[in-house]
Amino acid sequence: MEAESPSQVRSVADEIAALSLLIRETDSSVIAFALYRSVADREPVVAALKEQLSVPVRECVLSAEHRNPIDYLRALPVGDRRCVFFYDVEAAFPEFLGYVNIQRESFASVPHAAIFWVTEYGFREIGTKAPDFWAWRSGVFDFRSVRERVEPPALSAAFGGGFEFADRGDLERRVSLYEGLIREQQAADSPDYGFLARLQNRLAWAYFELTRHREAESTARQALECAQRAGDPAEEATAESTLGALAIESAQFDAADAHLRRALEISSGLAQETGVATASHRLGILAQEQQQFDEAEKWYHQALEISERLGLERYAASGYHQLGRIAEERQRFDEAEKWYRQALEIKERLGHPPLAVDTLAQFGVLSRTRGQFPDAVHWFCRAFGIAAEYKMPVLKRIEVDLALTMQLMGEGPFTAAWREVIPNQDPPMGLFRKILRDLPGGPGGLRASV
Amino acid sequence: MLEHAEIAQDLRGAINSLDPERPLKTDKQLEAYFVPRPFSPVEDVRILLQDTQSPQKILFTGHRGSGKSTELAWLTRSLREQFFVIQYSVKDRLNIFDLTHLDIVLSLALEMVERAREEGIEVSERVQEHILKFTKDISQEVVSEVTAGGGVSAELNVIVAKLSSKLGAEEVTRTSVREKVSHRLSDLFENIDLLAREIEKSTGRRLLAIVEDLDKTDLETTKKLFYENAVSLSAPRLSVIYTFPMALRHDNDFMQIRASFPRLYVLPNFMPRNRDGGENEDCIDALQAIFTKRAAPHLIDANALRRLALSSSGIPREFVAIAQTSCLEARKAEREFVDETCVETAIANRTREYDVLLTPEQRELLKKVRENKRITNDKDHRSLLHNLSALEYRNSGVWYDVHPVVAPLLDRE
Repeated sequence: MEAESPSQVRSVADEIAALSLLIRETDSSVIAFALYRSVADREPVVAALKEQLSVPVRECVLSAEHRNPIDYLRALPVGDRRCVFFYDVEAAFPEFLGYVNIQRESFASVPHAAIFWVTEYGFREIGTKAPDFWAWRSGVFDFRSVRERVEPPALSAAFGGGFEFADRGDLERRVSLYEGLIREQQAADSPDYGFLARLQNRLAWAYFELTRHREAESTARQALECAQRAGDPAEEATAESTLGALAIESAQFDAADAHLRRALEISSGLAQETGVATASHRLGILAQEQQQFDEAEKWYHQALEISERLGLERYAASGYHQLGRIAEERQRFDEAEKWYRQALEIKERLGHPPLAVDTLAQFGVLSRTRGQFPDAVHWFCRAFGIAAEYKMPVLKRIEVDLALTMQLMGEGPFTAAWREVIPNQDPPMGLFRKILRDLPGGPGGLRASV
Repeated sequence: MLEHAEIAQDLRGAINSLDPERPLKTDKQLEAYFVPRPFSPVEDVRILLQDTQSPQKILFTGHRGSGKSTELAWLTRSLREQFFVIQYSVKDRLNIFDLTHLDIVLSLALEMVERAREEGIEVSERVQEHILKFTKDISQEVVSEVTAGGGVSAELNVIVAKLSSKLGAEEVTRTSVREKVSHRLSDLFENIDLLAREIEKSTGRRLLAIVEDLDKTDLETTKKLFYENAVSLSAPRLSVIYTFPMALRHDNDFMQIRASFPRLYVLPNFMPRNRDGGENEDCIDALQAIFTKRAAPHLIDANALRRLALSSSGIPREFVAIAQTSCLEARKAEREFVDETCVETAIANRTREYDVLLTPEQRELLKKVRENKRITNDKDHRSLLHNLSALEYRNSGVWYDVHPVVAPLLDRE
């Protein structure tokens, strides 16, 4: 018989296999802990686990504001089993310890597997201060043996497709990840400024998506500085492009123009077509915001030409969507519908539901404008379902759109149309009525767009 | 698998039957899986309740994972013919982070009204009116006007349901209701007594309340409840069992609590080894039965099962958790059954968890516990009991030892 000595450390691969097995073989709830040393070490493990686990992974970052993991688990759809990775557990201390210790049975009431990523400190605190919860563990998986230095390129590879396919939980996790990596990189004896700029650019965009614009701007400026220090024009262009997008949001159109033209100039100089396409697309948005529709169309077509040629489908879909918006502004509704259909076809084919939300909602707006109210409810409900499931920031705007549509068509027909799409759930009428009551200047003052 | 109380016939089924997160609750589960333990106090509690006429107030305690909920469920089952049992968790009814004796006594009253309604027990209109008036008085500022057809009974049920749901969730309700109840505590006791008598008269059974999960509040809250408010918790004229935190038994004020609640029962752990280190065959057999009642015997090698029992510390949840990991190891190794290697690996995993958890100072303390078989009443030792690295055993006397999976860490230089 081969007895394992406690001093023997299992390899990371063994631990990944053991955790995967636990998730695969159990049918009901699981509480487990994953021990790690640093964010940089943790991420490749997370990436590998996502590949191997037999159930979809959801991610939740805990914080001083979001301290109770049970709230997150209860909000998940009950039908399908999920594996939820909880990060930054220590940031939710000490309240977290009280919640989980007392509500431990609540974990058993959901079918999901909850994996808590903890440092040694976090693990000890839980074992000492939430002993009832700790005693319910199904396993502890030790990833502290990731000792080898993970070089920046390898780490970047672990990020996979970057920040495009992000629901709110994922964005928050990415913020936590990038912040951690930046802290670690800044504390290094000789920081890699190029890598730092790359991380800061990603963090800035995650902040942007979460509408944390002030933090996004400050981080993008830091990225610009690091990129210049590292002599990395590609990252410099990315930072300029983000600053441009932020300036559009705050209606500083001259500043936006300057940033975006600088981004375009750098990317063109580097013959980096993706950068050119991104800057062109944003220049299109800038022109559109200023009602310069011809100019906007020109930029969108320029970006589309590159995206279609390079097979960048997601970028192309964004272009079609924006062209639809311009056609809609010009009251060319059939043309708008054609562009939206093109956009939606690609987005649905890409297989990540959140990607389609803005176009689904825009279809709703278009139908409502045409007076086709049941169709509008159909589109908004589809967008609502996805946005709610993925906790997307856009959810609130879709709720407003639904409330407005309800007001226009009357509560009875609205409810009937809703039930056509979501038969098992009544519309939250109280919420919609409240939205209508709270609307500043009434429904006419609201621009329903996504 | 666990829900249907079946015996697993393959390893995957065993993994799901051996779920450390699920205590036994239903009659079916208890019949299929319950394993009686030597020195269990539950039989003593049953005899005490059955043979005494006066209402008893009982504290019931045990290590986490020792099976308190399961033993109480078993007790309820055995008393059903003589007692109308109201069993509930304060955690489900009240805010456990903000808990006073007034909340507990009031929750008991509300629970009695709700259970009486659920069971269709006939309560005289005079008593219902009395309770309704009191409930309206204490909740008038927080529960909006109730309009219910069907007379006093329907009105009482609606107002009680509303108050019950608000008491746990709303701080304003708690504060307002507490303020009013504190001035009318004797009225509340009178209502409880009236209702208890009605229930007993109507069912022909005596009343027993089991108030669970008071051991899950923080120690200071529990201490305050049982030390400063013992009179209130003892006042209702029905038998009540309160679960009580094990660690409070090692508090300096415990003897004062004991004076108010002389009936304290400790659920002992199974004791696979005696104090002198010798193996205790009765307990080993009982622990092994926890496995064989949930999974077919061909799924584990006899030596592996014995090793599992010996290394489990005798706490059922620890046994179940290590057994589940052993089954997972067997699946990983593509074996048909659990052998000793799988159990050793599961034990080594458990040891590693404590390796991360225990500080050098705690290890030194644990060495002394292992040597002296006792602990002292201080915070450091209580923390060892809390994380189950040190455990209490009792047969003819009480003694302490370290969890077997921790032992290798203490022997390491």
